Amino acid sequence: MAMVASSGGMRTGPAPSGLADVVQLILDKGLVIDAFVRVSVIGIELITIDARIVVASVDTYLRFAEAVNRLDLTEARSGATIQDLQKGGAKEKAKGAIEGAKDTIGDKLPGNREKEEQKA
Amino acid sequence: MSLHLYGLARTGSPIPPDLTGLGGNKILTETHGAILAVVGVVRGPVVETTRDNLLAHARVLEAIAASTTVLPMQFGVLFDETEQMRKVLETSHDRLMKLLDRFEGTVEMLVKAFYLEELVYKDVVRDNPEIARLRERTRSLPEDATYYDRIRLGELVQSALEELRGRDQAAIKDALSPHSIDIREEQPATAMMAAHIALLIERDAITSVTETVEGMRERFGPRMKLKVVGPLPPYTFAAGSLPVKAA
Repeated sequence: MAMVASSGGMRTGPAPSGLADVVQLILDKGLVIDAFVRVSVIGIELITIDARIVVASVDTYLRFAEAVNRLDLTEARSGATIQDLQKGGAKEKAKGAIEGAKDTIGDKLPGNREKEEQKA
Repeated sequence: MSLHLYGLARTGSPIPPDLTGLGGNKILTETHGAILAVVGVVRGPVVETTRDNLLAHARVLEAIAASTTVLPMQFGVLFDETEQMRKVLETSHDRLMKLLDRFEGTVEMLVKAFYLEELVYKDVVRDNPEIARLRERTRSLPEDATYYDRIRLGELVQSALEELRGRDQAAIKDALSPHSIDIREEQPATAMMAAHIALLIERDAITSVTETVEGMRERFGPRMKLKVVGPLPPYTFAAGSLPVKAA
């Protein structure tokens, strides 16, 4: 079983790979026998993947500007730790800059993955 | 009832016993010459892309890839009966054997890197005097008076982030390349994603990869969160379509 080792300064133990890690792989990659792929997208709303692509627009620029303007730069560069961030909820401050549309996989799939099999 | 094909291995490969797949059904193997097909029974003519089904597919393949080489099928390859699958595998037998040879002894690993927003924005402000200047200016004046300055500021922040991402991505890739047979950069999905890299490696290089990532954690410090996924079957590198010959 694949393990995920994840850390941002602290060590965390291995855990099984999550759906987010493999969903793209098993729906878009891998070997395929086209005529025999028969997938129904029922229930797909349970899974969302980030399709937040930052495009060059005035809105995007204003959100980036807002994100840096809200920063508190008073602490020393090396002073902030992950723990501080988690405690302070500081992440919220900069969130605006990457807000975007979340597409469900249902939107990503053309809805035509359900294919008629060919008689072999 | 249909037959769901999970993956293909060499006949005689050690497949873990008692695996269960979609619908909690037992995993079965079918040999066709030198090829071993890993299959399971599913109800109905299609499979639904539910969380449970997708994870079941991934788990079966990961359990096999943990000890032997397996070509992973995309989710949802279904046959009405064994005979139908046999025909397809016979048609593709030589090509599949070539693929199995090519991927023998390899696994796929993913390395994903994410910026912590607060910290990366701080670095961007500190490393770019023009951004710092515009930030001070737009903070000290009413919003109405700084519209164009804020657009300019955001534009500079975005390009500074892109530049940083380009550098970090290249550094991560360079560090991992010596351990990889093949390496591919995927498109980062969000503004805060620093890198998304798929590696094809020899099974005995798994530790080298995790150690390399450990080294990068120290190098990049708290501004970046790094994640290693694997060993996985070679989804990215074995991706492709098998020819189907109509009988």
